[in-house]
Amino acid sequence: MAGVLETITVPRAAALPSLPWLRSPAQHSPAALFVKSEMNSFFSFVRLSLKLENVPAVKDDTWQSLVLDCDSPVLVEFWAPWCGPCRIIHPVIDELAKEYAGKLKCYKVNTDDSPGIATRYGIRSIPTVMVFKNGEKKDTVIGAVPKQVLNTCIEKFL
Amino acid sequence: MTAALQASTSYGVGFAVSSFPPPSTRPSRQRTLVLAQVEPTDKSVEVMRKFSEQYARRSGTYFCMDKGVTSVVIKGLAEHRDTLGAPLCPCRHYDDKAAEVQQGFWNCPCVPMRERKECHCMLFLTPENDFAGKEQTVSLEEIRETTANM
Repeated sequence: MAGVLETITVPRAAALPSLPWLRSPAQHSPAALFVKSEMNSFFSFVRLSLKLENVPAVKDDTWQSLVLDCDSPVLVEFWAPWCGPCRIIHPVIDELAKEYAGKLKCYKVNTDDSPGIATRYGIRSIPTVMVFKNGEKKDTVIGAVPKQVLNTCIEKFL
Repeated sequence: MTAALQASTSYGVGFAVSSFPPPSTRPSRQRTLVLAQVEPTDKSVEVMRKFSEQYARRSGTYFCMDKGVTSVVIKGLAEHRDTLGAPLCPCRHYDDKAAEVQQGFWNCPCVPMRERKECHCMLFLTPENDFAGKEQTVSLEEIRETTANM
């Protein structure tokens, strides 16, 4: 079933052929892509940042209180342990958590540990970032996107 | 261009994509598999490493410039090979992994990869992709080294 749905949704985002993981339902602008020459230093940063865990985990038992009942907007990253692109986006989420401290709460959901939440919100491709406000899902960004894409997404809800 | 690129691998995975058989009725093993992150066996890592190198060459795609991404995905495929019997894509969430394996759509190389060279896991990248490196090989040492701190 998941496979069938995926086939139907793919042609909608055919404007970005080289970066399938960049696609999102919100059709964010591809203008904010990484510059290739900066990639190596970016990955060095990623490797360093992987050792720093700034964003707490949320699980089934804390989902209601931490995410749905939260007074401020909440960003949630759905990830899995053996997902390659998740390694790229983890430090970006850590950075966003610092940048928007006091205005936005950031959490990570390990979809293997909390499959119920992932299923409930229709998570398919990983990583997926969702923004919640007043207990409702407001936006979804799929894939390891550049930070600017997430900045733009977040600022709509602050 | 919809010609599917067939992988020649040492594991036998049937791609029953066009027929979409009904999901398996046998009980899901997922519940017992998700409680801990288990290291895949060396044998499966080696099988998936060789498969990845071979499929990159056959499809004209390249590994990510950060081999850490490549390594994590290869280990994820190996872990699924160990626990599910097939290299189910590790970059997706499934309600029932056993049923997905039976269906075959997301067994690596998945249908989007075979038909359109789209690998959202970033294991196989087309040369124009901003994340693509220049290599189609990854050694066991590289895999060990880049996943050592996980």
